Amino acid sequence: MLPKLIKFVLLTRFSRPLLGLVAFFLFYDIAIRGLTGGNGSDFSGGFSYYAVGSSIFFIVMSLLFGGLFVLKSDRDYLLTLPLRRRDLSAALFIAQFIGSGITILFLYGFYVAGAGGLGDAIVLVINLVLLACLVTALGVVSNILETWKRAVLAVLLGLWCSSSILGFGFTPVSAFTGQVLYGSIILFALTAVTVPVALRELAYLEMGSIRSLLRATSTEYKTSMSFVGKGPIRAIYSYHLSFLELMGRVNIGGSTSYRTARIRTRTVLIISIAAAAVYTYLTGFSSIDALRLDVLVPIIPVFMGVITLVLMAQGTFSNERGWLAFTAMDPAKYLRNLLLSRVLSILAILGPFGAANIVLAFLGTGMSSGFGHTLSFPLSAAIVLLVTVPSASILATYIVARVGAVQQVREEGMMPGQFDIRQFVAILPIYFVIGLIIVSEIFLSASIVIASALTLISAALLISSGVWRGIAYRLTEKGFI
Amino acid sequence: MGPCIDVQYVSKSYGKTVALDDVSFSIPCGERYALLGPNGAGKSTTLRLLVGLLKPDTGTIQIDGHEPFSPEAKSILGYLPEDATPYRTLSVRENLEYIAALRGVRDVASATNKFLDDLSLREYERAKVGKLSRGNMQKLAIALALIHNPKIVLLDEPLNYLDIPTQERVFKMLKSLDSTQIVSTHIMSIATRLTDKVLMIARGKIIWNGTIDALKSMEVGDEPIESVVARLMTGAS
Repeated sequence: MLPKLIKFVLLTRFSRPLLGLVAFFLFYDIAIRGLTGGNGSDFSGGFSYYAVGSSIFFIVMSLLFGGLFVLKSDRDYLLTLPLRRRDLSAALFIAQFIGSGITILFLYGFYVAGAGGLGDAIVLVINLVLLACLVTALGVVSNILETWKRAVLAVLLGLWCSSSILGFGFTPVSAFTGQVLYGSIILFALTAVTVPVALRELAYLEMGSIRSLLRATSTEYKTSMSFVGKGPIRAIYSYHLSFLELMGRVNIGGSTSYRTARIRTRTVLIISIAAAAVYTYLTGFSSIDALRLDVLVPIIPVFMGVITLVLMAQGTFSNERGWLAFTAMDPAKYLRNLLLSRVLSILAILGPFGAANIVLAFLGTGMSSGFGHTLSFPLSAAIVLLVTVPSASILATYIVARVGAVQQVREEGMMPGQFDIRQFVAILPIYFVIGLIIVSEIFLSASIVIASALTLISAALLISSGVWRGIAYRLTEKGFI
Repeated sequence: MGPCIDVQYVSKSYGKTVALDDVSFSIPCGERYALLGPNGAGKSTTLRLLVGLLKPDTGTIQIDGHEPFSPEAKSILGYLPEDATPYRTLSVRENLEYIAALRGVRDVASATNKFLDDLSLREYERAKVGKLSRGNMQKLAIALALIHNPKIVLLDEPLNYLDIPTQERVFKMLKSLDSTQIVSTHIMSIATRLTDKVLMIARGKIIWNGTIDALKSMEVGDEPIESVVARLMTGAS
């Protein structure tokens, strides 16, 4: 029964071509790249920063944006069937793992597979699989936690894992900084606690997460927007500049959540300014010799770029309502202003960090970092954050909509449909843009050229009415109403 | 007076699936039509073409003499799709005000307040739409479709999810509108109460066009009107 159930659960959530592609990439990434090009024996160098940073990112994102790979039809049919709960939770956990945890194996599987000796490689691969299970489990567990508990847990776990960079061996990611024994024990213990909780939650979804989603509570907004006395264009900007919306498949760090939420842009701006001030102090003024904090200068724009591009590309249209917006005014005019207003709103996050990097450039931060072209790092980072990422987000949004990979959120917490290869393919250009961001970080001249080119392409896209009317028709044909 | 809706030789396919095949019909201004047809007949596609959300592969559509996607047509069309969901992150009031502003309604506050009261949404005006019950969401969707007092109203199963008192209120509201209406429905009592004429569609083609009275006259003995419609849809004699 279990194999049949696993097959059913997987095929109702992921298309066969997508599963095939995932299997191929996994094999290629770990087996081929790991065995032929792996050089992960030095765990004290750049790999440590990369692996620890990425792990923290995945853990934090899973806790904050963790979601369930559950369909509306599961609620109505699958969960009502007389299935053994153990089988059900196992099948759903595997689906969760493929949908979220597996991303970790892609990102640094080849490093650990190619680690020095066979013994090291085996231990690190086990660590990686455990980490993937932990991230998967945290994504499930986060659904039963209130928002503030998720945030507190994310901060605590993030700080704990960060301490591994300072040489603390008792963290879940210490194996990646050379503390293989203690790191493995801690990671195993944490996984052994969280996975059973996640399995239990998946076994009784209708009594836990789904019931809380369906609870007939009416959430009242304390602060509301008013559109009285505003024309159509002002209304669009007023909406999107007042609140930042998180919605759609918030697919960051492998997490998947179909939620719709909004945060006041002013609040986001204040938090971002505070974070940028801390960042400026740490990278420009602090003198903790043990830490290479200047390395944050090129890393931060990459992480912020990933988050912004994914949020914009997959979230811009997820809460859009074609039957209202496209019938009220010309879809081209509407979408053009929608995109511009959303780009302006994301500058509330990116802007303070862009300004902080300009300050760092004046301070000469990075002069002694030894990377070469050091002075250009903060300037490049400022260009990336203020121009490249906002421009690229328009392009990314267009590509995702053009290939029909947008999923409209119609029911809170439920997958709107099966993941197919289009959603996978649509995300690839985003990685290309990330590559451009990395190149921009290294060469100031490249940064200027790439930022200019992306701005020109995005401007040309925005100007073309035909492009956006075509997107509106395409979205409608895909059932996006 | 010319037709408010004029559809000539319109075809629309999704890939290899033909949704509408060389369809032509006209609806004079002020008339109320029920759009009937079995599942997958092409009813929703027809409404989406009329409202300019889709473009026909061939043929022409005129809304009061304008192309459906023109600003002139958009300003006089009101559309409610089946299972309509408003903006989930906005409150009820914000949804009404936002759409009224997008549509260029002069007095946004008055229009909003009118629908909050008429559809008993006042107590939910600050509530997040994503947390509303399906019935209240449908009431809001109806209000959003009508907030600009459209001259032409296209409704797809408007009474879905509504309780009986609200259904009666919506009946009254729609009957009081001075507009051309097309109501797509599977429920004959809705068709007979809201409309006078019927456009029947099956397998992408118009198969019958006439008055409700003409349809009733085809009843045999105690046969209900639903049986007549079923006969016509299935092609039975």
